[in-house]
Amino acid sequence: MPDTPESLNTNSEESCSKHNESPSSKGGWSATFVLLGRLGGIGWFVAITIGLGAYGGYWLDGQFGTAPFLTVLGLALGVLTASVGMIRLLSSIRGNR
Amino acid sequence: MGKLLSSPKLLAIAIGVVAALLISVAGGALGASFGFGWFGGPIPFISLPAERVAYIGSYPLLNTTVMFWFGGLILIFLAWRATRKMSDVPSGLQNLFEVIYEFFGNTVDGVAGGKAKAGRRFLALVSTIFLVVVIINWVGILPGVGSVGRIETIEEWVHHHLPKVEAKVQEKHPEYTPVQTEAAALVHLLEDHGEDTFVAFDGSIVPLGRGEQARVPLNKIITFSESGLHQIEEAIHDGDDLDGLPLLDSIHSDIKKGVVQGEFVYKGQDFKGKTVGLLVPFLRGASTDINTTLAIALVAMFTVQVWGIRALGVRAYGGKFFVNPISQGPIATFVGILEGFGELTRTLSFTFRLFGNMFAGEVLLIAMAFLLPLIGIIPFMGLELFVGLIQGYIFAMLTLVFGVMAVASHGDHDTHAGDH
Amino acid sequence: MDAEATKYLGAAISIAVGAIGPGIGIGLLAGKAMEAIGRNPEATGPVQQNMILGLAFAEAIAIYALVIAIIILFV
Repeated sequence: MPDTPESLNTNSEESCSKHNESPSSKGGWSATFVLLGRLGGIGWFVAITIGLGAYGGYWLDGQFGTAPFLTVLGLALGVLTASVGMIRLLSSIRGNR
Repeated sequence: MGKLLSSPKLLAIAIGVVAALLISVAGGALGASFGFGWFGGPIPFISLPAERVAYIGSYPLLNTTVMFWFGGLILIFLAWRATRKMSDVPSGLQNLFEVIYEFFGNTVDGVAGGKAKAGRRFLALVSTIFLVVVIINWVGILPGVGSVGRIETIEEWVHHHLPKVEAKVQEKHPEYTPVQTEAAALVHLLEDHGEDTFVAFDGSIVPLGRGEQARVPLNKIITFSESGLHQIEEAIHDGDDLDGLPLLDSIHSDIKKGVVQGEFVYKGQDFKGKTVGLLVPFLRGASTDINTTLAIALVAMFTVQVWGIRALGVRAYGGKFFVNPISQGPIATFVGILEGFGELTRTLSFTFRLFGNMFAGEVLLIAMAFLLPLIGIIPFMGLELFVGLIQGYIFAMLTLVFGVMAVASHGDHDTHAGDH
Repeated sequence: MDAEATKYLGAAISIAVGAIGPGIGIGLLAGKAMEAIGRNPEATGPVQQNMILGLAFAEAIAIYALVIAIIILFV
């Protein structure tokens, strides 16, 4: 009874690919790379969002001179956007498979 | 091994994991001492009191205060979203809040015991404490919190550390004038902290260098020498006029400039002229500050007293602590005093339990991110999520238990279930 | 032994010795809870909840020791 998790995995992949033909459910190297690419993209998204939020706030502070308040606000918005965006990206990756 | 090599997904993931492990070990603190260390961030600077972000007028705004408001706003927003269009069959956010409400409703009824719905008066505060503590714990470990901040220049660092040394100097030599005290304190500070290292920044955005060896010691930032310091000490002792003393002036101007002055070359990159300082994060988890946890603990214990007084009346409730020695015997009076101290101890226990767990978790995350940059932090993030949830649950449950004990009338006083 | 070394030693001993008691306590507590669950699996819910409550008290002692160690080191 080779009920290993791997055999279960391939079973569900085959049955999945019968009803939706997105590349991530075909299996094989392309699917793996697509998945890894999307997962890696999440990290870049988080980092860039936070960096842009903080730097945008810093630049606005330079324009208006309100010492660190706008930087903190920009950073907080960046953190919020990053975390909400990360959750959405992850759930879309999960929902697609 | 055959199974590994046949399935491409598993193989790719395995190779990726091994590669990530090697890259992060070589790029972190361990690799930095061998000459690699491309990931190296500066050694974490951990400060127990929360740091000031800005000044509103003359009131210092701490970074944990900002995060507390942030967490509060998030909670208000979530509550608004959940109750916007309420349906009889809940889903999504409304379902989550209903689960929490139902769980705490049942728990409160269970712990309060007695007649049905006896615990409803506890429900509001207990569930609020749970939600607030969990949200501020979790918001405190989001990415971006604790890593982006402003640079505390040398001037501010000296400004922070000088008063403590000045106090010690004042004790030893109370006859010094303020100028003399400040000069003597400066001398002591430079002597003691001459080897303290700071991080060099490139244009105030990015830290330079990797890891421990790239930090600049204080004696390369402020030029001073043993003999120079001795001369200043003698001048103070003799009561000379310290205004025009060139050594002291040069130290003051060096502190103001706050750049690397001595020779400091790291891997061929000359740090001369770069601003140095320490990182003061803009955002820091609210429960890593004793003030926040103390505030929540005070609210909880104050409400416990209010519940007790409301349920039993002032005389009966006060009679738990102030027992008449003549009618009840001196031992009962002693026990009553101990109960009073018990209330204070519980407040402190609340404070330090939440603070210690969250602060230790933050220090752990920072240290792990420094030691093993990419992957070291993953299991500890999971731990932090779990600990944040459990600490919120514990805070709420303990408030409930103390409340139930406070409203218990004198008859069933021997259930010391949660006494501490 | 100069002051800095004693400081570090004090912090290390504080948390090391301070974690012995709570460690033993938590182990005993969790062990008894496991026994209770094993004997009566239907009571898992209440047993678990009360175990977590007890864990909080035991762990708080370790946290006190940790706070003292941190204060020694950083303040």
